[in-house]
Amino acid sequence: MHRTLLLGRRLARIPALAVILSLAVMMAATSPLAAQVPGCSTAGFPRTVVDGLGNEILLPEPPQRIFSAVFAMDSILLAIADPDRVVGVTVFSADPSQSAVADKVADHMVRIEHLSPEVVFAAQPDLVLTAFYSNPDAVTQIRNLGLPVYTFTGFNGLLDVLDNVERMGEITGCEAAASAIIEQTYANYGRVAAKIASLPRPTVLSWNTWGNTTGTETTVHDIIQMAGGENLAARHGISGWKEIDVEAIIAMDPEVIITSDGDAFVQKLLNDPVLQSVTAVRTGRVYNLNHAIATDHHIFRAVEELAQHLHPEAFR
Amino acid sequence: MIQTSRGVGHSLVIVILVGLLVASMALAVAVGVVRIPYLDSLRVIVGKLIPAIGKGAQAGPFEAIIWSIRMPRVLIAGLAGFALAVSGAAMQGLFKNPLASPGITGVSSGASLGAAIAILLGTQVINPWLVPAGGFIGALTAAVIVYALATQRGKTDGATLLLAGVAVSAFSSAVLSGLYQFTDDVVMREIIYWLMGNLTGKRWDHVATVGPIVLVGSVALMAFAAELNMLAAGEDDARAMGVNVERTKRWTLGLVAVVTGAAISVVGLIGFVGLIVPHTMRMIVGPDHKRLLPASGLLGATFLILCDLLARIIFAPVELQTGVVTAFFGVPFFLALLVRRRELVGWS
Repeated sequence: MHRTLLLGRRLARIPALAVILSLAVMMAATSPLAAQVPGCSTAGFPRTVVDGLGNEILLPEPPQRIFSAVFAMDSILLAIADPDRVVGVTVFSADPSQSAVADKVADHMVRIEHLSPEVVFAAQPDLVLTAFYSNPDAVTQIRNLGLPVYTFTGFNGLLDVLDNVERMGEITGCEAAASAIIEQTYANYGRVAAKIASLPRPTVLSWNTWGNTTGTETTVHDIIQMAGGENLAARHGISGWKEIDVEAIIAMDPEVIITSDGDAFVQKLLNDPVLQSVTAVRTGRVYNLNHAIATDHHIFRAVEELAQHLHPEAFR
Repeated sequence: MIQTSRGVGHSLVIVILVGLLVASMALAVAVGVVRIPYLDSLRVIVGKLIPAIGKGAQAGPFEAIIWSIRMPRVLIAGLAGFALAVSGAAMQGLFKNPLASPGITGVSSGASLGAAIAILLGTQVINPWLVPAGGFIGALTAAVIVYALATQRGKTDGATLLLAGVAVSAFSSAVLSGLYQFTDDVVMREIIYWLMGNLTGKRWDHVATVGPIVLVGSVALMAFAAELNMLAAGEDDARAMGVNVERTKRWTLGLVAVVTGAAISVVGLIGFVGLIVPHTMRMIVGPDHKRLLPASGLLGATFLILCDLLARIIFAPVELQTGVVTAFFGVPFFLALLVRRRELVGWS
């Protein structure tokens, strides 16, 4: 499964990205690159938070037994809150090959693959984090058992990731820690954006082992745009994840091909006799994006990674 | 041909089947990912069933797990297994075809498409009942289309109906595959998850909704047992014996569509139960539908409850899909029976 997709799609938000960009450039100048701060407090509790579905959840005090049933939320939660406050996460978070917080998954945390009401209930959480796509029967049952449930609904691109970080800060009382991550993300991206702002945009096509490319309304499209490339699939009117033929790649003739399916797939493309006429293959500009599988704020690393591939001269 | 029982008394078979069902329910409620002392499980159940005893007893933290999570799940598994097995037995009898399953009425593929569209539209966020509702509407729509295609001048042709069922199923699958092109990974996974059959999170309100439909529908199906027996001799003979053949077909198909549709719209696609269980029962009680239908229902309920238990505990805490377990354990068991006792299958 392609975890990148958990972030979903939708860009049609160029204005919003422009705001990020200008904000980021500003912050690069002003903000110190703050490392992670302890940034949690009990101030402002009890408080009522509103989840992505519009449900109001009353938190009498900062939750101390949080069960995260969403992979993307595990890592945001563990990045800002004390792991002692987390009673359950998804199994994916404990896997270093897909998780940036595997070292923070402690023995006391229950790990689930699917949302199991029995396991969640037995952990006696004081807050359960779910996504809009979590098994609705299981969510209803957990709610009926009297456990507060907070549902995240924003999985549609890079901006939603930062919104989720902010929400997590509000839920946990760790607003300062959340803000630090957001500011650092803007600052990091600001440095990248400043370097590539005026450079020409090479044409980029993303492709994966299933033969799919990513048009507008995908996270990969956001990454290409922000890294200073032009998404060829978008130019050809493709929206979302669509299967395309090898012939279409030859016809589009991208200057750069990117994938998140690993270096073996990169080698396969470079050595594919059918693709030898494609500029990207001829010039050896086929890259694997190591950070594009992230579903949390680490996805922004993929922007920097791609920017370095697209504009090596700017990073020398 | 109608055969009499083979040595084993029919009431004894029913008693054994009921005993197995009760035992499997007790086991499935007592065993799970969270370890609960058996005595506590018993205390919760007895306390709930007989409030006078439960009043004084300390319920403890396990009560919610036993009574609100496991109990309704086990009952839904039992109801779905009952529905699928009774429907399967009736379809095999009606079509005189050992491969006939409830799916040939188009209900399975119709339910898949209906549920997939409901998931695609994101309706589960508005109300969790909209996905099963979509599945049920899809199941009945497909069944009506299949029936209409096979019926001319008030006469339903069995072979045409089988083919129409295959065609409608294939068409639904094509539409479903087409829909995947317009969904992102998360939604696609949710649809596939539904298609594999899943009992997680089933609650008392599911039991209250599906239970009456399955039980009333199944009893009504059993009322056609005599007609199904006479149809085994061929439509003309049945007609000569006074069976209203078209009415029997219409009612059997309609009841199967409603009963199966209600079950699968809540639990998703769970295969093989409607095939394995009736054949197994036919080897034990013979082809008389008066015995076969209730016996199949009871074994079907037991079978699905045990498969769901295995799905929960084999790789605990990771849960398997119940539909995967029914196929994985059911098919080899069925084949072993078939090879060893081929002469008793009862199709001649």
